Amino acid sequence: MNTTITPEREKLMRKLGLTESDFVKPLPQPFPWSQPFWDAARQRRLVLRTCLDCSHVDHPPYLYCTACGSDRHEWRTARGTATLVAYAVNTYSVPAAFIEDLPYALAIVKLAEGPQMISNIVECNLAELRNGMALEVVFHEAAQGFVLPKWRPTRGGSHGAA
Amino acid sequence: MARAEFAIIGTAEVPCGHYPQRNEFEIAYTVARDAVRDAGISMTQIGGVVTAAHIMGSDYNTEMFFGRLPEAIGATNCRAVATTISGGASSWSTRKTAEGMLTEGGVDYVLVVHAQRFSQFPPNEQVKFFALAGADAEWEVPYGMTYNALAAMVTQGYMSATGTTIEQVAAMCVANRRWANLQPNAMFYSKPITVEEVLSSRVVAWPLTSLMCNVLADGGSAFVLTRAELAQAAQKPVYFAGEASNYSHRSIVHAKWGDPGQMAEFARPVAEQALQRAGIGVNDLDLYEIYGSYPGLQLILMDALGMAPAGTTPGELVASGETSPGGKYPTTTNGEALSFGHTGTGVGFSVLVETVRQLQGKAGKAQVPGARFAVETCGGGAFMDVHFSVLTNEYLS
Repeated sequence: MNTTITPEREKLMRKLGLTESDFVKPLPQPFPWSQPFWDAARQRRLVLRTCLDCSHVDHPPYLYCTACGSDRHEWRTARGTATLVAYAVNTYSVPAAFIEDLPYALAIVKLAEGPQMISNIVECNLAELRNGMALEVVFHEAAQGFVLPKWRPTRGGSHGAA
Repeated sequence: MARAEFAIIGTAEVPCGHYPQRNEFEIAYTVARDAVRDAGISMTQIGGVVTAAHIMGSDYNTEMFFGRLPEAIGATNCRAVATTISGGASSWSTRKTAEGMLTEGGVDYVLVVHAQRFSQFPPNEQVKFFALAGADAEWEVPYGMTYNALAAMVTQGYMSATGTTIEQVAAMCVANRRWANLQPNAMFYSKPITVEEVLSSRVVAWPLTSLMCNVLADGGSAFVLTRAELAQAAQKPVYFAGEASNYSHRSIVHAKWGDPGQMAEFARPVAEQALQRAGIGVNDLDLYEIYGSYPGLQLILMDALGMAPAGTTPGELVASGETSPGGKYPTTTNGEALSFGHTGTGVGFSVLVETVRQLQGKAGKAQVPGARFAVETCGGGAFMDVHFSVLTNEYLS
């Protein structure tokens, strides 16, 4: 861990009896069948597992197509647009690794291709969030070179690069 | 009314709260003995023992599924032992396991036990557990997803779909607390609260405040299940007249009800089916023992049940005080997870045990006079399933 302990963090550690490791963000532990999603995210691409037999899009992906059971699939690049279905703003009582991010928005996001995902809404004033609003994907690097697709209100023009 | 197949004839419970000096084994052994005594049978009549797993994992789980309990309590004629778990729905799934034992032959009484303790874990571990238990480790936890945030989304969705107000959500917490104030075993027995206090407590996951969220607690309870025809010999049997269940999802993104505000529409046919199987209507119910785990979820399940008078919403009913002690719609009379205490897999057990006590006329200060029919609900996971059961103290032969 190459994190420097800020005075704020030191205060938190004392107050809550935490160690430095408590501040390490939990990262996805991919399964063999989900690894391509995270590999693409690292290259700042949002991909979805699409069945070659029935065209069903599975997200999160599982071992085989959840609609027809087929193993035949390909990873297709998503449009990177979505709508905000519902959200909550965490302000307190979160695992230590997320205390320094408070407040942050969690959302159910519905992709243009159909599937929904849990994600963060970022790069905006959280007070302006409203259900149904248009979103575009952005890629935020979590720890250790792990990239998480997140979302922000659509700004118009080109989207996706951050 | 439909003919019942199974009945509970005895229950037991230990106080719920922060009891670091206790341990799961002591709690389990205590409620096991007390439930069998309450049933009016001897320990040697117990033919099966089912335990619910401790949700945070411990030696207790290993010991229980290695068959410790029958040996420790002197159930020398026990023929079948099992551990069953489905999170917050474990009071249902352990009971279903027990029913299977009772139909196999040679087993007449099954003891079902839940014991759980959280106080051995430091506060940060508890926050972490409660935050992460409902979230998918790969797809949600890395985003800082928490149980409270999940409940906040579903509550907010229901509020905007129905016009339910945050004051009404707070009133649900107060109604729970008023019942808990009549329950000596409740974690918040001696601590009344007001709507203003609920609303002004710290925001945890907007729009939920800290008094709308649960506190993990130590506790345990047990019941004895038997076949209905055998139960008639017991002093105060309580029969399962009809029930129904449905499963939706692991992650809320796959909820079968789609929009997070529509959970009541998923639960409604399940509630209707349970009532139909019991052969009664919602107006025949005297008690509404609803386990939501969050006040918004209680309102959603009340909505599904259709218990509010025509033209009114559950939120209005709760705010009117009619679901509180003395009201016409007594709801979750032990105080629910919010005010009784959240014992992990155990909340459904405490709600079920309270339902039985009410129908036995053994609910003490919280007793609803002359209650004959009750609906009891539970559910687990990240709101993954719903179970509605109709219980009654009347046997139809």
